[in-house]
Amino acid sequence: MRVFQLPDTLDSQGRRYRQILNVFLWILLGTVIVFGLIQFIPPVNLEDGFLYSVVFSFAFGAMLIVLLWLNSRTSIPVNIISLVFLALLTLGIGLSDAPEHMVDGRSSMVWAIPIIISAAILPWWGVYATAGMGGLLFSILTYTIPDRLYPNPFALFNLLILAFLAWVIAAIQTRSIRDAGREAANRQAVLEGMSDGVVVYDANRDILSLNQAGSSMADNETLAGIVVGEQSTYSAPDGRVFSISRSPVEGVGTVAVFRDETRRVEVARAKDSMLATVSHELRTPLASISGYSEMMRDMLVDDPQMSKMAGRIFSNASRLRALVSDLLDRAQIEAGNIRIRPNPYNIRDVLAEVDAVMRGLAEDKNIDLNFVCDDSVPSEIVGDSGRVHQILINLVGNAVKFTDGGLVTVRAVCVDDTLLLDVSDTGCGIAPAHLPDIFQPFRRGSDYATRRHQGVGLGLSISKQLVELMGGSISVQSSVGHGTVFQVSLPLFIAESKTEESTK
Amino acid sequence: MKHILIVEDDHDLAELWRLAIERMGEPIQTEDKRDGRSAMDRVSEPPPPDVIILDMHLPIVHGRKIYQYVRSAKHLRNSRVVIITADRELADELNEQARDGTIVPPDGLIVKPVLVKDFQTLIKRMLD
Repeated sequence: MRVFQLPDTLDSQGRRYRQILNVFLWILLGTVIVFGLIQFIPPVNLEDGFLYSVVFSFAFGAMLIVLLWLNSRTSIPVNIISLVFLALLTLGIGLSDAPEHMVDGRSSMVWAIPIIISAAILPWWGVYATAGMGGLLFSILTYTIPDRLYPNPFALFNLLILAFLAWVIAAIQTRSIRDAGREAANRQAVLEGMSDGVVVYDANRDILSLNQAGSSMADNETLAGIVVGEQSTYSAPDGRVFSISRSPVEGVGTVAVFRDETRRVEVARAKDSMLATVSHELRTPLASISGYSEMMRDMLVDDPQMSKMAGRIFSNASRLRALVSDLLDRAQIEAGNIRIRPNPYNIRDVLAEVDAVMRGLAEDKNIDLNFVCDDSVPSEIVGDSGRVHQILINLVGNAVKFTDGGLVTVRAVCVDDTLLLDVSDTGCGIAPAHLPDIFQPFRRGSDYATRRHQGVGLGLSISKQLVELMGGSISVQSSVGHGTVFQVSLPLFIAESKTEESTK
Repeated sequence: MKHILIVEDDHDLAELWRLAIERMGEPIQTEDKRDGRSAMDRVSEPPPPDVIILDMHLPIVHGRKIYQYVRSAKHLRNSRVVIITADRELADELNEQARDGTIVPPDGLIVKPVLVKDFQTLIKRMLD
């Protein structure tokens, strides 16, 4: 299951030798069987070495089968089996022809075969041991030849050179495997140490590997169902919450990373709930402060100074009330608790309400406030009139706040299937550098630094989120010193007429 | 003389509503209850108030229950109900239910804090 793991331990190196040895044994066994069967192809020549070949094949094949069996027993060290195998191979090669052919001429090159094989199935000393065995047999065979007093020293030296070269190749190979293994082990350690679950799956949507954190999230079957799905979050039975991101990895498949968001979600939930509770609890005393100060302001007409002070308490309570509303809105948007409640309404009524709320404020600042509703806007459309009202109050409030003696115009118009609400002013405008974060919470363009105007800058971010919740968008254009235009575009749903409804 | 029942658990607010009604300068008699149980006891007995100003989050019995009772009781069919709450979510929910027809719409719905001026306008409308 774990692809990240590659062998680095002695044990796994032994397993690798065992596997390679197995491959050689099977190849040789196959060769011997074919060699043995060839002897029976007619016309069978019973005289010329037939029996010798058959017996040789049979005996050699039997020994290979024994070695295969031994190799399957992990209790027997693989190096011993390999040495026995190489000894047999050397012996087989040495006896495969007349001694004078084996110690002279080109056929002597076959001695190299066991040495090269030994590089693949034994540690560094294996090549010298095999070369030694070959040299010993080579010498013995030399002495069996009449008139030969000593083995050819160059041939023995050749064996030594061969062994050295085989050792160099084997050492390079072993080192690179070990390095790769170490690297993989490091990678594996990093993956296992991660608190994120990492799951790799292929094009067939089978899980190839997963780390410890991954396997702790769910059983493999459940996990397989999740990773290939479309969902971007996963709630584990133990209550943990994960976000899922998937990225394709060429040649492998897809890596799905499960990030544990439990703590973050808990904190966010606690924060939202606290904010909602606090906001709600703030409203009751605020209602008292605002109500009593409003009454005092109106009752103390005979004492202008006291009336003015009461008026200050009242207007500050109003500011606080607006802030609490904004904070609550934001908390609910963040928590995903806010709901859009569509109902049939007339945008002209909403414009009139906004006009009624804002007129006094605009007149105080000597602003000409205009509301224009184009004939293209149907009298009854469907949407959340309360939220549209809230957005317009925010935008018009801003326009009035940042304009001193000028013009603020609200225009409603329908273009195709879209309701466009433009709020334009002739105010101070917003510097281009500040435009990108104008919809971010707690940002208020260049004005933020000067703190000349009140508010914490939540209105625009709330408006944007509300517009998006209603499936629309909001944009802004501004030039410093000339003014700003906010445009809200909402999908237009026309209410079914009463007559249509009654015929249903 | 018109009769208004104020059901509000916050003492200061109950006093504020009473003062605001008095300041309207009309002959109105007010009476207040601070929890759901005593409000329930009061409305179940005659005489029926002309207007009931009803807070929602009340001790003992929730304002919602009282509202349901008022709307179902025959002797209160001429009483007008103004729901007044600081819980905006609840207000939204009530509005939606009123639209869906799940509940009888209240005669007035106020989310605290409210301008005294607006409160007085609403009460005046209720009494007309």
